[in-house]
Amino acid sequence: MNTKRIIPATWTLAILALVYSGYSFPQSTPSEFAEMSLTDLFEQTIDDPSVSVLNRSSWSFTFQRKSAEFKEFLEGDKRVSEDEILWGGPKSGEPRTDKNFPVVPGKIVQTAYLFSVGYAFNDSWRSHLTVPYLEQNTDHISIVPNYSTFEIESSGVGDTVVSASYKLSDSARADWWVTAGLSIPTGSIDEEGDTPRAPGDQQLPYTMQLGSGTYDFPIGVSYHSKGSYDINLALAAIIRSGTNDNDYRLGNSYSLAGRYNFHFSDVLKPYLGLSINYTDSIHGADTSLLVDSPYPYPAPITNPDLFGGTKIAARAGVSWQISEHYRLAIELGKPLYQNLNGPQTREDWRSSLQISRPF
Amino acid sequence: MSRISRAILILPIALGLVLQPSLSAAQGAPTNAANATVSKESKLRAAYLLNFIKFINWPNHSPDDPRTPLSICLQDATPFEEFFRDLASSASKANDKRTLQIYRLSEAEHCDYTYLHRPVLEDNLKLEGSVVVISSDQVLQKNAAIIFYIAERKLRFEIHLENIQTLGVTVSSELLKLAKIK
Repeated sequence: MNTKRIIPATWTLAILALVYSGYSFPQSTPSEFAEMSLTDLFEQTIDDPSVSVLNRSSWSFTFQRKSAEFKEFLEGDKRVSEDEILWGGPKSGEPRTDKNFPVVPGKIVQTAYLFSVGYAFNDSWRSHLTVPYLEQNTDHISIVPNYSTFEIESSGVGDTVVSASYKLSDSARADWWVTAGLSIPTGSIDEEGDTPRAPGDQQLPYTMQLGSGTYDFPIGVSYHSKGSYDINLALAAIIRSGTNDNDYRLGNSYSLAGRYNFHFSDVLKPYLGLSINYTDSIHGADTSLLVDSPYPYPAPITNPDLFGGTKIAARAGVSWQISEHYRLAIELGKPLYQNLNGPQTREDWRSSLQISRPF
Repeated sequence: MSRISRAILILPIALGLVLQPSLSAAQGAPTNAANATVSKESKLRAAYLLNFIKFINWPNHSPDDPRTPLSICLQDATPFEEFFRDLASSASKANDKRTLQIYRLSEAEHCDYTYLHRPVLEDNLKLEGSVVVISSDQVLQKNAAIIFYIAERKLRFEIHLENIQTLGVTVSSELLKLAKIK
C-alpha cells in the first residue's frame, strides 16, 4: 500500500468532512450569544439573515503549505563560495580540512503541509493538534566518481504536535495568550537514500530526516494589540529532550516575531513583520553518517556542529477573509541577516499559503 | 506499513467517528422556535443591550446587591424580546451577579434601562432617569443615551455623553472606547 499518498488523502478528507460539518452549526442560540464579549460582538457582521449563522465555533481548522529554499554558504555571517567548500580530492594538492568536504549540497527545498484542528473548551482554553506532511529535496555536487551530481529526497509524516493555549487576559484593546505543547516523534529519523558514501541506500543526513526522534516541548507567549495599532508579538521556543534512537538531539530553537497589520478593508489585511530566531547546533551525532577517515564528515550536512545560528527575517503577507468563516493568508519571507554555525547552507526565502476556519 | 504510519492513517478516521457525533449533537441543540425567526441583526442588538449593562453603573443599583434588581423595559413588539429573555437567563446562569427584571414597557412601573425601536413621548414617567437605548438613528428620541447604527455591515453604537451625564450614571472607559461619542 502506498502510504505516502494515502495518509495526506485521508487527512484531507477528514478535515473537509469536519469543515463541512462546521458549516451547519446553528450558533445563534441565546446561550452562544451570552458567551460573547463586547469585543466579539464588535467583530460580527449583520448581513447574513440566516438563522443558522455561524458566529463562533468551538472548532478551528487550518491547512497550511510552507516552503523554504536554502542555497549558497555562510560561515558566521560571511559568504563562502562552493569552490572553497568542495574539496578537490587527493590529486588536487588541496589540503583536506574540517571546512572542506568531498560532497557539498547545492540547493535544499523543504515543503511542509500542515493539517491542524483546534478545539476551544471555553473562552480561555484552546487546544490544537497539528500533523505535518513533509517533502524534502537536496541536490549535491561531489568528487566521487558516478556521483558528480546527485539528488536525494525524502517525504512522509513529520512530528505531531498537541498543544494547549490559555488566554491570560483580554480586553477591547489587547489580549495575551500562553501556549505549551508536546511534540510527539511520529516523524521518521531513519530515512534512507543513495549517497556516495556506499553502494545502495544509506542513512540520510539530519536535514533529510522527517522528525526529531525526541519528545519536544513547544512553548510560547503571544500578544495582540487590537487598539489603534493592530500589532502581533510572539515569543516562542522549542525545547528538545533526551536523545533519539540515532544518538542525537536537535538544537533548541527560540524566536521572537512581530507584525503590524494594516486595515485597508474589513476583508483584506496586509501585514509586515520581522522575526529573530536562534537555533542551537545538534547535540550528539548519528555515527552512521560518518566515514572512516581523519575527517569523518563527508558533507557539511553530516556534521552536527554545522547546524543552527541566528536569523533575522522580514515577512510580508496578506490575510483575506474570503467568506464569513474562511480566511486565506499568503506570506513571503526573506532573511535580512544570518549568522550561522558554518559552513552551512543559508536560507534564501520562505513562503506560506494558509486556508483556515478560525474559532 | 509501520506502526506509526498505521496510527497516522487511522487517527483521522477515529477523529471523524469521535467528532461527528459531537458535531451532530451541537447541531441538534434546542433552539426556541420564536428565536429561530429573529434576524442576526436583532440578536446582535439584544446581545449588545445585555452586554452594555456590565459597563454602566447605576448609582442606586450595585451589581453585587441582588436586593436592588435592575428593571429593563423593552418596548412592546420588540422583535427580539423572547431571545433577550433567554439571553439574560443564560448570562445569569453563567456568572452575571446583577439581578435583572425584564418588563414590557406598557406593563412596567419604572424602567432603569429601556430599549426603544420607535419614538415615545419624552415625558413618559416610566422613562424618568432611565438609560434609553434606541434601535437606530432613524428613531428620533431626544433623551436617548445609546443609539445603534450600522457601518460597513457591522452594528455599531453611539453614546450621547450629555444625556448620560444628565442621568447620573457612569459609563466605563472600555465601553466609551468602542463607541462613537456624540
